[in-house]
Amino acid sequence: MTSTLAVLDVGHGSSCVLTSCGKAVVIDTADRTHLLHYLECKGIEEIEMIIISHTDSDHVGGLINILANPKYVVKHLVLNCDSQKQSKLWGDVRTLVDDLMGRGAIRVTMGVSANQAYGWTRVSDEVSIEIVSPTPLMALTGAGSALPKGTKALTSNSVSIVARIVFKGIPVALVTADMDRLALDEMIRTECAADSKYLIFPHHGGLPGTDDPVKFTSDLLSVVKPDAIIFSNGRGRHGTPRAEIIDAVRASLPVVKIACTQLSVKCCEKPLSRDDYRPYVYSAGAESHSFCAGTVEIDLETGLADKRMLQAHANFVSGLPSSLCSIPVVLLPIA
Amino acid sequence: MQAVNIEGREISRVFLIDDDPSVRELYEYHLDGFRVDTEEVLHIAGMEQLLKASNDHDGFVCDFHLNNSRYSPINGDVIVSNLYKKNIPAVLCSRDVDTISSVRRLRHSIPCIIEARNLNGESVMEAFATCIREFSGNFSSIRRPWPTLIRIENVVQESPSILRVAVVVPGWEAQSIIEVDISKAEVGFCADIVRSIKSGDVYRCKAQVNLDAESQTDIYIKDWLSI
Repeated sequence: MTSTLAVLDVGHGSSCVLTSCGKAVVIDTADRTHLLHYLECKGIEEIEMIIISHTDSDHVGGLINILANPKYVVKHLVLNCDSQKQSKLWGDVRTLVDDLMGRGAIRVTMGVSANQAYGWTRVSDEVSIEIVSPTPLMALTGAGSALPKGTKALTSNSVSIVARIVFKGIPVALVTADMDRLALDEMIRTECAADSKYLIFPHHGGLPGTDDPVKFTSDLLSVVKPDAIIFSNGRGRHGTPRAEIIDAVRASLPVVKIACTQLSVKCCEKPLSRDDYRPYVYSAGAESHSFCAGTVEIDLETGLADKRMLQAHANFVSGLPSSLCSIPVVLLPIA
Repeated sequence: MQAVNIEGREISRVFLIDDDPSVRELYEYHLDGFRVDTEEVLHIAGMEQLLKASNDHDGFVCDFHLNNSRYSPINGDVIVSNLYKKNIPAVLCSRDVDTISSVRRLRHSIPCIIEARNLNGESVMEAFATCIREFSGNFSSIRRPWPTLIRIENVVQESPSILRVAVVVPGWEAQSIIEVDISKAEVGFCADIVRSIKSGDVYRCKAQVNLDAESQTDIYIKDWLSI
């Protein structure tokens, strides 16, 4: 594979690694050492760019361990500051970034929004990243305030950076972080292009705040029109993906393919021994038999994930007595 | 001479350290089924004495609380840590070690702490194996050190040689507060830490931490660096 997108099994949290022509781009770092383990497994030490979608610890916590580790070179950091989240964790990140900037060791881009021309979104001749959200209006408003004519204040989740991965002009994956209803409404209002073969479902398949999860899901799917949906979920934490979300997915797109990085407790109460298959790249749930698909690596050219993983996942899910997805899990190539 | 091969090293003798003779006998009883000689340490004059008396084929089982009697001027954590630094496998044995912050200061060189009720010949040999693997740089995932940021939130106690601080390791568990002792002789910026905390700020620095540790008991923090 020359260009791949890996949706990492990090337990509860998010991290994706995009590689193309020897360059590596990370979208969110999850927490703890999951990303470090994956990078080590792939022999990646130089990172062209890290995009941080928003400041929640399950998306940014691992950044601390990358930036503090002299083994890794991070050339460029892209993020949106969030005055609503003046957390100590954010102060930790700020300390490390400030130190690296002071030594001229990192470039930082802040205040990112859709419909802007950024040179850094072109990863290689084949692969580019499109920023789909926040819209400029959302970015100008910022978390904590309501959009014009709006009643609900934007949250950190609302202003998550949503990125679309495009291979030779074909949109392959939409990485949605924790985007919510307000972000979706803005995407619909601005008629932005968000269709994509793969949808990395928002918020790990958890509830979209206080909004109706069924309506949120059906509206999102009508915008993205995915062939396959990946949930970056953690077994046993937060009960993701939520059953009402999966039901809404199946109602909107009956033949869509579904893969969860970890085995939801709702699908199987106890972890099952997986002697038939062990993830060939780092997966947080591998040791504890908590993975379902585990880390999913997609070849951007064919749009396919690894055949061994797909087969093992399909066999595993079909053998579960009551899986939420309970439909064939065979990811199709890009037409 | 009888010996047990552990990770390629022949261990022929195990020293038993405890200020209570009956506990030393209990250690001896547990190791009875293994092909090793046991030797009770009747009194400890200092670390030098122990190092002088031991060689590459020795291991140690050592109680934690020792320096509150005439038996030893130093505690078990210091003994085990110093033996580890000389590549001699040693296991620390205790009942209440989980809550003792001073152990965390040395935890990077104390791979195995066995609770008294779990001590047996197999657990001791497995602990020796862990030590010997680490001597050649082979760390288990939960013991592997990673560089990270440390946020010091409070100074709990200060003595002329030690600063006990409450820290958060955000790259491990952003919600957990861990107490750890810092040696003023080893960490050159203790005065900066105190100044920062007294002014109402937190203090951030870097260190090596075993970030894949599963519980606070296993966490160690070493090689402190200012930013």
